[in-house]
Amino acid sequence: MDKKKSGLFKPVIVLGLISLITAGALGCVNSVTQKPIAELTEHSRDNAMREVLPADSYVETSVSGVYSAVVGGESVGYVVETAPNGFGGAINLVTGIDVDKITVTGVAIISMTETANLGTNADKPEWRAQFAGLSQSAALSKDGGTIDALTGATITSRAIVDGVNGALRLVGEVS
Amino acid sequence: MTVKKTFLQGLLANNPVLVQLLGMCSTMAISTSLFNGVGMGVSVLIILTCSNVVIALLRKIIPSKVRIACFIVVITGFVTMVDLILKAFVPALSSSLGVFIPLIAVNCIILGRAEAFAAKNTVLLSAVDGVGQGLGYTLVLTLISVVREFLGNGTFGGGILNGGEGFRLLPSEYPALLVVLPFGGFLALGSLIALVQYIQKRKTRNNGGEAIAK
Amino acid sequence: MSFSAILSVALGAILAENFVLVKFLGICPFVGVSKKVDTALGMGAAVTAVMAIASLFCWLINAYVLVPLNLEFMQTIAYILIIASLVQFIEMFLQKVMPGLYLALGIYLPLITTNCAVLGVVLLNTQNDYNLLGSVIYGLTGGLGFTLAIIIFASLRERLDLTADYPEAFEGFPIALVTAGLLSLAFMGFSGLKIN
Repeated sequence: MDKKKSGLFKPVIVLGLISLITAGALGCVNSVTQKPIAELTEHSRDNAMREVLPADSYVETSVSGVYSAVVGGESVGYVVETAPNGFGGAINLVTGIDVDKITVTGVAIISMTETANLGTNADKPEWRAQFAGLSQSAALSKDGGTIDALTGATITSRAIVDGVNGALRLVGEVS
Repeated sequence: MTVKKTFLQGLLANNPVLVQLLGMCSTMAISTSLFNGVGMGVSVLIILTCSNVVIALLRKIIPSKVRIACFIVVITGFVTMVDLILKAFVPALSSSLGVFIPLIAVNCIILGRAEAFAAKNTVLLSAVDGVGQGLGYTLVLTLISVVREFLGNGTFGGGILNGGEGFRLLPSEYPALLVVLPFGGFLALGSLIALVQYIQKRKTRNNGGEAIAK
Repeated sequence: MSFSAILSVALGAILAENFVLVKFLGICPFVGVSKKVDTALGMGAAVTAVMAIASLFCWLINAYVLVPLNLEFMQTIAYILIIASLVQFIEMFLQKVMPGLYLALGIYLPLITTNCAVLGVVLLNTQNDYNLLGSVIYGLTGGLGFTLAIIIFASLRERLDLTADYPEAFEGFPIALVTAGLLSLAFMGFSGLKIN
């Protein structure tokens, strides 16, 4: 009887102990890395916003993900965060939109996990420049629009187009 | 088995990718630039060595019934640590490799070495095995990455050298993008393994009966 | 999630972003268990079931345990334990209820635990921020995509063994990889598909 018990209990206890120690170690590492990760995200978000629509500060609006860009106390437009799904997960995107709420001033990528040399080409300024000045919803040229898809990365290109259109929609909701 | 022999095994004779045919998903998926190849290789090298050491340490304590579960917990622990550290200090690599970093947890190389080697050998040998196998993996990954990047993008060292642009070796109108697409991954690995098989077959033929007896 | 959004996730997971051929997830069982169409079908069914059920459980655990407790960094480890227990459970279930299928799948069942398509799908669910329904649909259709690919591949290989003529050095694994590459090229053709 006793033997049976220990035969059942020992594996469970060992596995439990190993899991506990692992969890503890992970907690330690996490406490060290948490702050740099948060800072990095904040930093690249800030950079992306300044790139698409320079302003003194960005104030949250009633719609979540939409920020009003303020220069000298006056709103000069909006920056909108969207996260469309690309090829390797979500692409965190910032779209700058003029005060008229229809003209795109620029697009920048905060973070993405697309394939190197294919999807990551979306971050090239030349490609992103296609979005600036757009004053209607975006579409790829193969879907009848004006944006040329990245060669070999239709999924990524389409995701970013979707993200920009989502941003335009969100801005429309701001009163 | 000696330390030197264990080390060399992983590098060539028992290379994890080319001979054991393990860890193919990541090999094909991320080998599109030098930065990716080296980064992934080194990450696996570190995780593999750490998990080999810990598992060799615990090999007498872990009951065989739950050993796979224990191995997985240990491995995933190290994977998560590397994932967090990369996110915090090497964000470019973390975003470039994406979901394939956490997926190292189920990379058959690591579980395979834990089960086939670390569970049966001393801590020192397991560590050496981890480094050898990890280097073998890194070598293959780097080789495929360099070839695919050159043929598919015309550059060398993209993502890391020359301010991330890499050095352009071919004018941009020549590279065949096809090689960076998934098709190129399958083709590159297939050809490389075929080459290894070709060399092995020639050796067997040259050595005649001797090799068979071995 | 709207109906069209779900449809587009489903279509993407099966064709345009096929897990095996385009995303490179689950290559090991794809090459390992694709010599015969029958076993390929069984493996596909098992993987599909695990992917769908794992998506459900992992979503619940993430939304109701890990996120409230600020333990997001434990995601990978929690997911992998859920998948491992699920596979164990399915194995016991099959052994009792469908011993035929259990024997056919044999050693491949435990391998599902380390199938990166399964862990991949639950990680992508989290990254893409899908809701419960979206996650399950993504898991299910991702599995169907895997099944479709492995069945096509197995039928190709059955023919390849009988008739094809290729260099000796390519025997076995390499020719399988090249075949898979050509198949993936065919699937690239779906990348233009879009649902409005």
